[in-house]
Amino acid sequence: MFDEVTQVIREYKGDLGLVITPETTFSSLNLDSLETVELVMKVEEKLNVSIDMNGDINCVGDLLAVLEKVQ
Amino acid sequence: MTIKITGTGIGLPKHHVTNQELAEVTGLDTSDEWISTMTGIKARYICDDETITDLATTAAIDALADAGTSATDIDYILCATIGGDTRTPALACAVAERIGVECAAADLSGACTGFLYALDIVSCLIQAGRASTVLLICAEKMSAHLDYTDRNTCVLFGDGAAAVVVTAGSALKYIHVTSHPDTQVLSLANRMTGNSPFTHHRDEVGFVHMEGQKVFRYAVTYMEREVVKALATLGLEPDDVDYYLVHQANRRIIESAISRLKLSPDKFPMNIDRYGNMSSVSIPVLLHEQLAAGAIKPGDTLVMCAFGAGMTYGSCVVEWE
Repeated sequence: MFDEVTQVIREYKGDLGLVITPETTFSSLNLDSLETVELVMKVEEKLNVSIDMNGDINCVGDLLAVLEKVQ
Repeated sequence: MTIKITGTGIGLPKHHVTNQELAEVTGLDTSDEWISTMTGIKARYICDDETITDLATTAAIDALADAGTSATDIDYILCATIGGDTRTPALACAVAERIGVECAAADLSGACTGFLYALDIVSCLIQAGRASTVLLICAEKMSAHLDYTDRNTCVLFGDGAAAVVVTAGSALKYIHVTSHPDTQVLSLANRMTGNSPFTHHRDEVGFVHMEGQKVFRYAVTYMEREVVKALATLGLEPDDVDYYLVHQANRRIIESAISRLKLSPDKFPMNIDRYGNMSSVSIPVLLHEQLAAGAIKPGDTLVMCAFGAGMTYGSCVVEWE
């Protein structure tokens, strides 16, 4: 799942060489709040899941944790 | 037989407030650059001494003149609004009084989807033979509902009114309105307090509350869903549509939906930079401007799509007559 998420992020950022770890925050990727939502929607589409955004999703690890619950 | 729009009009406050002026007057920690980047908004109209009835009446008179229709021909006035100058009587009654007509007059609360909800009802009234010439007015004084110490919401909205005259015709090919029950992410608390000795709580004075990320997700999702559904229902291809007139809430919502739909941005006229989010008023103002500019011609296919508090959403397809 990590690989799929990082692929979506790299495609969204247009940088296929982007170094991403679970600790990578969305703000460090220069994604603002609305871009983060767009990214989450693309991950939903890619993995065919619906993600609950009620909790804080500030970094890639947060997103992975939410995905593990819905998978 | 369905309906057609025979005239459009708008009514705006005098004061056009730029982002810079808004930041200066409110003292908020915001800037033209931040507001423009996050929303696409550069200015909005805000009432000073105008009432919402003033704006609605101006729009109504403008639309009647454009349609070449006498006020006495109107047999129904339907206003889409969050609220007029008085909770009762309805804003529609206030406009009827101003323009001097005796006819059915009522308001409808459909939030930012109000124009489409009202158009749906108007089409039913006309098709059922219960009305023949309807004045549909959208009017919002959003500035009365905003917390001007909250930089996340007060920069987004503007005041204004728009009206359309609707009669029998064959322009409306499809209309669909619905809602997804989520009343928390975008709301406006009731300002009614009263002094009943039997009431155990008082409603606090409320302002527009918005959870931006959730509204963004709803908006993009519903816009995509509604456009796909409308085209599929009529067997249209995206290129068959000349213009998509969508609710002007945030430029980035629109751009995100365009990207997901893989459509051309050229077919999505926008005016949010000059008006901000005017709730139900945004689509009819956009329609009025496109008609005034000569962009929309008879035979053109238009898709209109909106979303708003509720969460309400919907779309319609019009072949312009």
